[in-house]
Amino acid sequence: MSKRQPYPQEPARPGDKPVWITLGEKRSAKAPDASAELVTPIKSSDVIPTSRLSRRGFLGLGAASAAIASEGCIRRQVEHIYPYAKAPEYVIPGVPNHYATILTRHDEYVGALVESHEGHPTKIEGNQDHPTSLGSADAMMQAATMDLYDADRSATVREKNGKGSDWAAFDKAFDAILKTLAADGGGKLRVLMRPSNSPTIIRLREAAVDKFPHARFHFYAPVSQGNVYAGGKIAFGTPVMPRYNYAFAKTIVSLDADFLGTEQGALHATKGFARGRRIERPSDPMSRLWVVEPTLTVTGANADERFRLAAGDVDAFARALAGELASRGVDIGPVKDAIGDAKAPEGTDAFVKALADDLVANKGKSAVVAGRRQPPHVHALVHALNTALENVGRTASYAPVSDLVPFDLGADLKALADDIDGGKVDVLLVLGGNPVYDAPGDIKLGEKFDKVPTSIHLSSHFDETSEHCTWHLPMTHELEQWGDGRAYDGTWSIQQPLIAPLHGGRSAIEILARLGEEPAKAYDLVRTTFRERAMTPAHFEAAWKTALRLGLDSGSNSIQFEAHATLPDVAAALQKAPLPKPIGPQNLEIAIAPDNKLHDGMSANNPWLLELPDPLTKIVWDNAALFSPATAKALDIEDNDVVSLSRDGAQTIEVAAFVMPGQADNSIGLVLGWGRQNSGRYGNGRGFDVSPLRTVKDMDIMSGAKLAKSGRTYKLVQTQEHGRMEGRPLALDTTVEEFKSNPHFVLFPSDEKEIAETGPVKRELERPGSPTPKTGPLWDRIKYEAHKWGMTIDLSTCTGCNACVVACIAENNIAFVGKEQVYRGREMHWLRIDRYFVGEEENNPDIAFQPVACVQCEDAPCENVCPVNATTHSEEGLNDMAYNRCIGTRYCANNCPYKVRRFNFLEWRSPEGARQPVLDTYQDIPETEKMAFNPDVTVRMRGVMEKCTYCVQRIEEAKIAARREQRGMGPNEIKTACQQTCPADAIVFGDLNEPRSEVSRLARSERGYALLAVLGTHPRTTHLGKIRNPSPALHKAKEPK
Amino acid sequence: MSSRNRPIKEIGEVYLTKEGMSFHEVSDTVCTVTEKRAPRNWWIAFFITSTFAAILFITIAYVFWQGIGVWGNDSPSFWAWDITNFVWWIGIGHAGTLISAVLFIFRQKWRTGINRAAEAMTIFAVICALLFPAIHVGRVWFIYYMFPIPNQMAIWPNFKSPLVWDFFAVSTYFTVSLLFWYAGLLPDFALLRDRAMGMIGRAGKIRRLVYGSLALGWRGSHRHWQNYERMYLILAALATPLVLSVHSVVSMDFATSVIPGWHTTIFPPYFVAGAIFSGFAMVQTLMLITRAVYGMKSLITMRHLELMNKIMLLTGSLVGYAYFMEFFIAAYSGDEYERYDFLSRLFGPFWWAYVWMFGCNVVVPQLFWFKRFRTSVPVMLAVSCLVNIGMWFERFVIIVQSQNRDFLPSSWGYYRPTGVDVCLFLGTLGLFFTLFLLFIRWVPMIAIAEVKGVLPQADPHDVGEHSTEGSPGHEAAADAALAGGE
Amino acid sequence: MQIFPRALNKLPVYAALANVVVLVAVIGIPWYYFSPKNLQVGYEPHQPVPYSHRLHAGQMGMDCRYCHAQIERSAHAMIPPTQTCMGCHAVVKTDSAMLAPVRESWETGNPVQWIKVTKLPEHVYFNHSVHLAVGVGCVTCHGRIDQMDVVRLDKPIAMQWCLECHRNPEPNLRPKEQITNMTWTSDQAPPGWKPPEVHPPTNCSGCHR
Repeated sequence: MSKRQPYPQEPARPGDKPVWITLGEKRSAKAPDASAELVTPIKSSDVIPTSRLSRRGFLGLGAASAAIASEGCIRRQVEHIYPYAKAPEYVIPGVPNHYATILTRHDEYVGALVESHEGHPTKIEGNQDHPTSLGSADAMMQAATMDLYDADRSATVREKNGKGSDWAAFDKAFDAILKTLAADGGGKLRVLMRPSNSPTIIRLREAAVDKFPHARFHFYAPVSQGNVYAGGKIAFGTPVMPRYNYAFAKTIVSLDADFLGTEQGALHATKGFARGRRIERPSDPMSRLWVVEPTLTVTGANADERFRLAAGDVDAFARALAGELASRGVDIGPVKDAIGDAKAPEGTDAFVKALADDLVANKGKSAVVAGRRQPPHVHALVHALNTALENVGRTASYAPVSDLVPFDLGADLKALADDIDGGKVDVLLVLGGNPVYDAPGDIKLGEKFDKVPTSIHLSSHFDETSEHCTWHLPMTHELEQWGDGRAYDGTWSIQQPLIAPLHGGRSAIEILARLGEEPAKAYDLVRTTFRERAMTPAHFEAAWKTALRLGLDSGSNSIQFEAHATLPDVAAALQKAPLPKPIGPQNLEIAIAPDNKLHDGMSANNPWLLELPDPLTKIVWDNAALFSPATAKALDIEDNDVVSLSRDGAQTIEVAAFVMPGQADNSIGLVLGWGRQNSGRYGNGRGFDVSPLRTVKDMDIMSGAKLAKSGRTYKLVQTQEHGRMEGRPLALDTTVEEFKSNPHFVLFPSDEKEIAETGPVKRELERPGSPTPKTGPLWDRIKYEAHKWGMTIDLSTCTGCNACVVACIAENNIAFVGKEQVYRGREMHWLRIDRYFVGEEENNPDIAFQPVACVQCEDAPCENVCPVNATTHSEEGLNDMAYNRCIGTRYCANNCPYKVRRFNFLEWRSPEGARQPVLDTYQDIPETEKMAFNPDVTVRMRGVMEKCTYCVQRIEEAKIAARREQRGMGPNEIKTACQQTCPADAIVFGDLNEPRSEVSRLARSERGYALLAVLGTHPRTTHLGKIRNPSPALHKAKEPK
Repeated sequence: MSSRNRPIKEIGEVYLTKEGMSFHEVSDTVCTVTEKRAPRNWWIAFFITSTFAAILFITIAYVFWQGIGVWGNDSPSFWAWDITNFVWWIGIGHAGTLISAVLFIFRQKWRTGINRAAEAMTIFAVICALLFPAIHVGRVWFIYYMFPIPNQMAIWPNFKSPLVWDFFAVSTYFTVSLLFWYAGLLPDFALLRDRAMGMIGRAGKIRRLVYGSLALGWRGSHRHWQNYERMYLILAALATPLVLSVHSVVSMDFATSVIPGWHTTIFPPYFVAGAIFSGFAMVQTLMLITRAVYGMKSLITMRHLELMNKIMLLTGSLVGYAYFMEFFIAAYSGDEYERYDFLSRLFGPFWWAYVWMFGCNVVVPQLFWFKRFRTSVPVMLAVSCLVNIGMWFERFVIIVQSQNRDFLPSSWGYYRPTGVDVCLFLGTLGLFFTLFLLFIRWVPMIAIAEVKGVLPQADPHDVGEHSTEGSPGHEAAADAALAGGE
Repeated sequence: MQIFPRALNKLPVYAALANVVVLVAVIGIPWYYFSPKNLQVGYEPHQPVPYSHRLHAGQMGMDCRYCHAQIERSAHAMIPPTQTCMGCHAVVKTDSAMLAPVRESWETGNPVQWIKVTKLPEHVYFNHSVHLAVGVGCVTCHGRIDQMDVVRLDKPIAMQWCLECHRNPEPNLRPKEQITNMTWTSDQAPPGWKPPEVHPPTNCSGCHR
């Protein structure tokens, strides 16, 4: 069993097995930029032993027969130590460094804090100080290291039809091109890039425009905020990005807005939302979330009142809501007339009325939010409502966005396509993105690109787009490049590289710079831009250093305004906008959203994300078309049926069907980001590409879809096949009213012990918790004097977003196993999020999420059945798992009631002769992937059991640090990976013996209960029962069963 | 000769052999099998079975190389066919000791016809069983961690773990059964050796040498017989508790766990009954075939078979009782998990397995209430085969079904075996029958001495006849007479 | 009649004896011979540069931490970068042939390929800093380095050996300022000095993660 090779190694001597090619070599190919050297001091060197033992060396052959080149008297394998030649500053071998940087998410940037082991970024956390992340990270951020180490990233410049070339050749060619272009001011130059608020990109673009006044810049991204901006333009006269204070809002209305999941700013939205939901005592106030949406999203799953509404009907619903509010005396001025007597979509009347009452009751303490795929006038209307409800300045504020980016990106791309047809384009520069893959189908961008004489594509992979371009340039990963960007509130952050480009790529700004200015290093470009905002040159260096250290330039978050929507404009817009005709069995709707994990598919080759179960469907390695049970029955569709979807003017696609409770009838839910053909070894051909269905006119919501069954089936694989709780007390929930009347709802009524501790429990309580056994064990329970580690997981605030799962994967070197193996139930995730459907109504159930990892039982069933003492109890109450002692009888896993133990059925990582399950080939995993391993955690081999350890490596590190510094430990000093990343702060870990620790307080909470306590396992992890806040008016308060 | 056939019968006593068989006939019928060259059918059978045995070892090599992921085992079915087969084989391995030890102590003379083959079968079954615990671990090259060997890690096995108990229980059982079997063989090996005296040529030489050394210089003197009987009795006494202990311990692998459907107090007796049940079924199957092929009808009479059928009826009904009792306990306990598990045995995804198990183990044996079926060879052959199938499914249901319907519905799954699983199982069958074929080819398949011991002539009151016999076997026979007569 | 010589009557006895011998061998030989004591102690490979601890640490009395810097902060006792060597040898013995690899490394930037002597299995997470923090001396695990021209493995580094100390650390503790002192013995302890209160982990996760 061998740790990840933390270091690149040169082959030491003939006969020795090379461990991998060195970064040093790679780098020596090109001069490292001095600047990068400062923060990415990488020389191939190491003080950590690197094993020449193959992972199968265990066979004993390793020791006995493997090359025993040995001086000295003892026969033993020779291992080498490679110290630095010139030790880089700030690097202590064995002590990780952390650097602040930013990563792109939608049109903004989120702050990240990256852990680097001797120059290898291994783990990404949120940046405490950064407004967009507030110390948390989402699943995609957590998985970003895997993107960086993706072995299929393009490493070479390629000329037409994939012919190998190099940067020198390209530079020469490009200079020539620029000369010819300069002649007519770049009339035939087109630049296509993704929308970005990076100051440097904006500056360079202006510079480029100065030099090529007739050149045109186009922007495209498959997921755009255009509607939001446009809506702002209508309401305020300037495009804005609204921001809502979910912590303060008491009534939150989401009109098809997945603000906890795929919308921009989900991270800090979740933080705020969770704050508004976390109630400790029954008296505490709690917000109520109303959601109307077609497909069950993370937001919808957390809704107190949810209505399955086709995306196209949301418009009508919004108008009806406005009408109801107006009739309740909310002054929406001319908008009232604009609406006329809009009828609410059928079935929603009661819902709208109750909602309107709730909103009026919470004037100034509510927030109405519209989803980015809703048309602009709906956003405008929402702004009007928030104004009318006096939310502006309280729960709603707005940040202006530069309007240099067009609102309708599809149309912008179309314009480019038309120019190409018109022969107006000689040179096309595509900076990043993969438009040929994700452009609307009716543009047929591939064919267009082929017509362009010179097309240059800068991208991380040689992907679908690169194939249609004359030049392909390898692009650096965000962790490899200098850059800058702004947060929603304008906070200016610097993007600094963690590692010099692995494959010698260049960043977008470096290419862009060549248009306007002289070629320069990204480092200098970014500094130049930054110099403009830093006051004096003297001040500059200091400001620069601070910005690098904090990851942001404090005080740059200037722009934040509270505007009141100009109602007449809104009214006008509404009058102009016709109501779409309602959805029905004859008029099927297709609603397309970004995927919960792959988003728009830019990181479609990331096995961590591919194997991450979708929060709601629990499908892995695929996407699917979602149908409501009713619709499925009407159309006679079952899970795994392959259906073909088509509509006028768009191409036809085939996609596997999946019946999903909570889906709106007659509306088909699809997600972007799948079906990549050229993404790499893991992503190729996974799932189904839906962009061909999109048209410039209807990008996200499209009606009039036709459906045909192909008769074939396709195997969709889920990590959780059984969605019902079978009436067992597992993920306990109740309503606020219930909670008030009975604070101990999680307890078993006849549980004298608990009752004695926590006061009376109402006998007539119908839903029992899990009782702790009356008679304790026959032996004395262990007393834990020193530390007593424990964890609480708050089901009330957990949104099921999956960030913790990926964080766990990244921290603990957890293997991915591939679709076939997941089908066999062999996924390795230590931490899983169980998703249960609550309630009888199969079309519209409530959702209960329950994160379950090893609960570290005090009387653990797994421990006493292990024949070899491989899993034992530590004096701090952890179930230690000694991998190197485990022989793999799997008895512990059988005997684990929580089924949290994972077994390495095969050699998931390095086959060395055995078939690698993930790719079904015999090749070893790529060397670069090994660089992603956390050196503080053993990489498990096949045949051993593994499970959550409470991140014991972090515990031990902290204990050692305390001992080293001759001090005690802080109350909340240790954070587990899942806790650290959780945007909702639902997971709390700490010392139960430490009265000041947060966990010891929460563990005594009235909502706290032990899962399956009836078994007498005495888990250290306790869950806090979920509190729902349904509208009493709607009489939908769910009685506990 | 007529006087010899004047038997002295106690009231109601029935002959265990064809009436009027002489010692010499007994010796001949049994020994000639090993002395004549093997019939062609033997070769055909041997070819087939050894092919499967080969498949077994190839598969095992493949499993070692790839890891047990090539099986169908998954989460939550961390154990599946591997342990199912293990328990099944161990169960089959029960009849031997029961017949030889327990029935011996109870002086059940009818055992003599079948105990030799039964014991051999036991040993071979246990060999097949022992394969699985060995190969089912993830890192087989570290399996010695399970043995209490002093080591540099200063760690010992976890004696709390039922798997460790298993290791000791099964290996003890194997050792004792082997000794017991061998001890019983001594006089017969001596007989074969002596019969080889007359043979000429290398064949005779080899036989003399091999059987000679196996016979450990047995001369059949009275002292030999005295010690022999004492040892045999002691071994029997030692083996008897094992009959109960082994499968009780195996059952504790499950009974001591927390999984609904495993955590059951009635498991030990229930497993033992099942074990004897399946063991007898397997003996029955083998006996029916061999006696037909080798014309042992004279020694393995219908009486033997009928008695075995009665035992199968009894144990089968015991098992059936256990099935009902499980449901009663589940219902009576009020444990929702337990209840759900047992309901889903009937209505869950594995209902078909339960039907097989219940049908074969409880319904089918009821035929034996009727003497007509009890004494009809085809019926008992069919029944004994079905019973073995049913018992396999019993283990499958207990192990796999329970795991797939445990506490958290989120981790429930559906177990699917792979080709490798199948190959392994068929392979063990191949190995088992290969060994058995070799056994009937080279070893007296019936305890000659003991059979002679229960012949009427062996009765001391049946005076002086046998001494006139001048057969190579007369010594053994004479001693057998003393033996049987004491 | 008998086909075997009488001598064979003793066969069972001999067989029994043979069994005992075999059993003892099967357990005893691996137990003794395949132990780190036998397989590791005394490992003494030739290094690319014949660096002499006896000279530097012994005769010159350089402190271990001069080269193995950061050992009090990091898990690893880092092997000094070429830089450190050149710190002196840029002026001392600048033309020594023995130092050629060092100079070469300094010029090319490629590391000197030292050969690892003290090796723990890869599933063991040993942390130097904490051991020094509680006052475990270098000599305790590495032996009299200051007397070695060529570094050799001095102690059998096996789990049992680690546990002996983890179960009873006091005998191996010393005042913090003495950790690099190779000759310190408990009777040199300052009057009234008592070993610090330490609870070294004896559970799996203490060393295996």
